[in-house]
Amino acid sequence: MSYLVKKLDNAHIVWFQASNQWVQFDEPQWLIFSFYVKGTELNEAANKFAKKYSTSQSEAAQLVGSFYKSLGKLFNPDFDIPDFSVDSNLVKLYQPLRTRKRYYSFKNKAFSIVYGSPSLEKYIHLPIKNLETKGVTTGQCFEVFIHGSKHFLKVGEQSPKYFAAQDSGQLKRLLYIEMANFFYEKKTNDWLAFIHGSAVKMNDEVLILTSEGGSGKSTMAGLLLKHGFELFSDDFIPVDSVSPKVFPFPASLCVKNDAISMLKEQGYTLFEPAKSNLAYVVQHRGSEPTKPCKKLKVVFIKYNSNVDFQLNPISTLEALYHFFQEGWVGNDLKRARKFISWFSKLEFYRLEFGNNSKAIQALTDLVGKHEK
Amino acid sequence: MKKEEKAKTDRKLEEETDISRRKAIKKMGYAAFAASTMFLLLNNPTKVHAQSPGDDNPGDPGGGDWDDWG
Repeated sequence: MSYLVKKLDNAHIVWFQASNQWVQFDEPQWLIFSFYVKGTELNEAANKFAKKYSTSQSEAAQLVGSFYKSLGKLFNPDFDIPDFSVDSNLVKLYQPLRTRKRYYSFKNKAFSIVYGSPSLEKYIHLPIKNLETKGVTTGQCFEVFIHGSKHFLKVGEQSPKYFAAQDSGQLKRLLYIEMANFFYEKKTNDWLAFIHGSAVKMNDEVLILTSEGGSGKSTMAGLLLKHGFELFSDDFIPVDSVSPKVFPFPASLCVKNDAISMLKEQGYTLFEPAKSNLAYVVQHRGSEPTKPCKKLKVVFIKYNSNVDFQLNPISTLEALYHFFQEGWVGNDLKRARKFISWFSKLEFYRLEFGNNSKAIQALTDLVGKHEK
Repeated sequence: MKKEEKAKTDRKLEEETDISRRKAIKKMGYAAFAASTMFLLLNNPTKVHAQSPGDDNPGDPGGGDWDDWG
């Protein structure tokens, strides 16, 4: 019965190893949890709960009984924790009809990707087109393809590893993780967390802009590039479990709809593929790739044309809830412990804006300012 | 002989269908649990590695024509 507890404000944050579930308990829930882990009988726990919170015996019995049942599922989940690695037998009948191989390089590390379909190529290649090299190079090989109802990722050629995904989005994420492992010589379990967001850097400090898709994070990251920031990552931000530091990921900044014309008006060079409503910001990266960074602030961002501008610090507890909407944390005790310790030392803000200029100014001012 | 083969195929299909049904119920497990619990669940452990639907996610990933992309 392995779990981890961290008190944040008035809440207890508990992580359950068996289910990899992070849960927030208020005081009454925490009391019931304490009874459960001590092995207190249901009737005795209900009596104690009724006494403490002045409820009727029947109410307490119902509540404690219901919580005990839920806690049982947290410690013994009846749902599967995802495992994407699969046996090569699953793909032994795969016979590609048509493929295309492209070559890339990042940090002087050459790699290639074989695409099993044009649509997969469009989806995966375009964000990393900036890394493409002209010549044929040897290096790490990746292959993405569809076989049966699954999307597969093959890593390596001599003793390949296979991963099966449900859809293209999952496939791209698995590929990005394997690419990050390759670039930084790590294993998947070396990463503390992965964040869906855009990140920019100035003066050795990273600003992570995170939110669900379509909230303006890539557009704002793009606008900040004209104000002294450099692009750190777009879409995918890995955090290592040693330092912990955030690591750059070299996908191009991707914008859509109105943001395309806005960035063009501001003088940005964009790559606009045909038959797509997306555009990629063309950037000339320096000879030295951006280094991993320890210092960071996290901004939960939302574009709202009805609002002028609001930027407010938010509590770690509130941030934790928002973070998990777009973040993933390593599912073992060591990483869970490290994560909550790292996370509770970070600064978090919520930005809602319709006025770009004010938002840019506020985010620029944020770098170098310290609340904690 | 043909009957035996058919019975074998039917049995295999039944087994496979049963397995996939059981798998589907197990997959529903988290959704069912999340809907029934009274706790504030912060993460969805069945969601993957900060996965986003992504821009330009192909609806038909097998289709399309090869392009040089500039």
